[in-house]
Amino acid sequence: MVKRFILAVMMFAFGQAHAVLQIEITEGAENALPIAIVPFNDRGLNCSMGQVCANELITQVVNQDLQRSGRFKITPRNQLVATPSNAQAIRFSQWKNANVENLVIGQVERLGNGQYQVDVRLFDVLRQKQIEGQRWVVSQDRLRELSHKISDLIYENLLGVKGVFSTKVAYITVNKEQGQKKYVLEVADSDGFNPQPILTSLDPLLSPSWSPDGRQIAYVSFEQQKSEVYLQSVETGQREKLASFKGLNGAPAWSPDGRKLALTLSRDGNAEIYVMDIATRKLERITRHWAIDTEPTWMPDGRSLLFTSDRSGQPQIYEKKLGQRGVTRLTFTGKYNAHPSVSPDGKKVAVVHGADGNFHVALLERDTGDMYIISDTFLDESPTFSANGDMIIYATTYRNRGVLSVLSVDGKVSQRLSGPSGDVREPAWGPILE
Amino acid sequence: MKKQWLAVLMGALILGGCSSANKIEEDTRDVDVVKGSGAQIESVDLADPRSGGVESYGVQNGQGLNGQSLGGQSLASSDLADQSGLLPAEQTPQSQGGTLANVMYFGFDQSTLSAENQKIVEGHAAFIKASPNRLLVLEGHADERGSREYNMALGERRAKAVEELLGVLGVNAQQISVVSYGEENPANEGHDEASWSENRRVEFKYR
Repeated sequence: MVKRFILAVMMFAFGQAHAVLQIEITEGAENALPIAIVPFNDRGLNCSMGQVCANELITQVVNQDLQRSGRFKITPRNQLVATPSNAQAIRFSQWKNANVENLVIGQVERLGNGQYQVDVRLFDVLRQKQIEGQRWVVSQDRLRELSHKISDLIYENLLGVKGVFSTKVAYITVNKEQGQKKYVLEVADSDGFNPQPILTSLDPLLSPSWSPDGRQIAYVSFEQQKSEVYLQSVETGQREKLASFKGLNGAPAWSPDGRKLALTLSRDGNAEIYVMDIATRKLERITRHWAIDTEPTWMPDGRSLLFTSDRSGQPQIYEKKLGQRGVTRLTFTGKYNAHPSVSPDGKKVAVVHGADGNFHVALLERDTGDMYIISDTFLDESPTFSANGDMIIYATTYRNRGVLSVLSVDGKVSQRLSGPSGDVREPAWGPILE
Repeated sequence: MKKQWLAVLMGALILGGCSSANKIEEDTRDVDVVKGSGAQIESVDLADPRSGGVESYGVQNGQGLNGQSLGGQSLASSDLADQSGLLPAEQTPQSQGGTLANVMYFGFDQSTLSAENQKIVEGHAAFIKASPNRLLVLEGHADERGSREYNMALGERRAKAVEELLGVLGVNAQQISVVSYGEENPANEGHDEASWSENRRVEFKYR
């Protein structure tokens, strides 16, 4: 049975950046970890009506982060059995009786000069022990950043996997202004907040790809009325043209070591996969076929590329082991499988899957060859894994508009991220930065 | 179950209402990476090559980028925004049958030329062979379904199918160039089959 809750969680603005989040829980996750997050104590913050309270902001963001991951069963706020603000006030038996296994408490104190001191403690209810306790001092404009850090801390402590809440997402927005389209390459927090434009153009932009160190983004721009591949520093905005050959220049994908870029060029006749050494610009041709070969993506070990090819008559996913002859076809289910994205452990491949005229995100299990559809929205495309492999972000069409959606890998929790207007598309999930 | 969300929602409304009241001042001692990139936005804005004519490419060249000659020369006389389906009268290629269509359509994931489309290509072949000074840009397009980069390649394949036939018909290859926009420039922005069928196309653009 499918339960469905849709809610507008919050509208919140920092600077001019608006974002609307919708969490859609299609099914309760079976192995979700029961956790209670006690609203952070305000320690005399004295928030007047209509003002953001730092403690409330942190509580909200951490709740949403953990919810979105699909890995936690969070006790609803009105069902909390108590609201302890310090370790001494916790009565573990109370929480145990309420089937809560983990408990988060915190307090926020305003220091002088706009700084906040934030204490967070995570407890194991059954062992009646503190698992983690940390204190931070941050300025107000970094409270969201800190909240994501707290979510990451909880996630890693309880699941043994790094969280991706502090990572960034790059994507393209398209807005019509006076009848003319304006394309913007933006970088935002993993929940869609704090969008920052890093490039604007009146011509199409697409296919952003993060360097493994998170410092550069490669993308395709039509600013010269043809496709070209550029690299841009996220920090400085400095950019350089990497590929502008005759024909197509597209689908850039960074190698895991950050030294090479796989890309699609049609300079030798039709769309083929090449690998470019970024330092020397030397090109190596990877595929040779009259059919379309495009959308290369690296396996995590950097030794092979997955790509889309229609050499069988329809687009399907293939693997090319570098330095070896031949290719291996990976997908056999359905008439349309394209745009592969590989999970960090190399075991799953997310694709755009076309069946019966619909396009959804599907997952291919490499061990078994099984494939199953995990999204149920309209015109789904561009799936990419989060750096820890637990979530997938993809683009879809909702109410005639392009929006981004985040899915837990089991497909049971999805969250729609969208700006106030225009089309949002081509998401690329950034790496975890140490 | 629904009550839990109500609580969250109410919290959200409180937060939402206060946002503008709580704008924070720029703390220059505490600039993070994203802020850093934000500060650079101005310097990476791209000039619109169409708005200022050919000269506007100087902006990019001024930044040390190598402008492609294709972009510079191509913009002088053509109206790239024209997607009306027909060229302006004075530029319209004529065949014995009258005005030539300058756009042709394809089936989903298809790039083969129907008999009707072949006729259109033949008309253009005759026109361009009689006009040695004209340049023809074949713009390939796809509908929005499926993945963008695959559609980019599909748009190119459609345009190349036309280019190939023009070659067979004896058109000078120097007069033809091919560019694919994939699904990026739909003729119809709708999300249904009627719209999609107008977007799977090759456009003939003369210069």
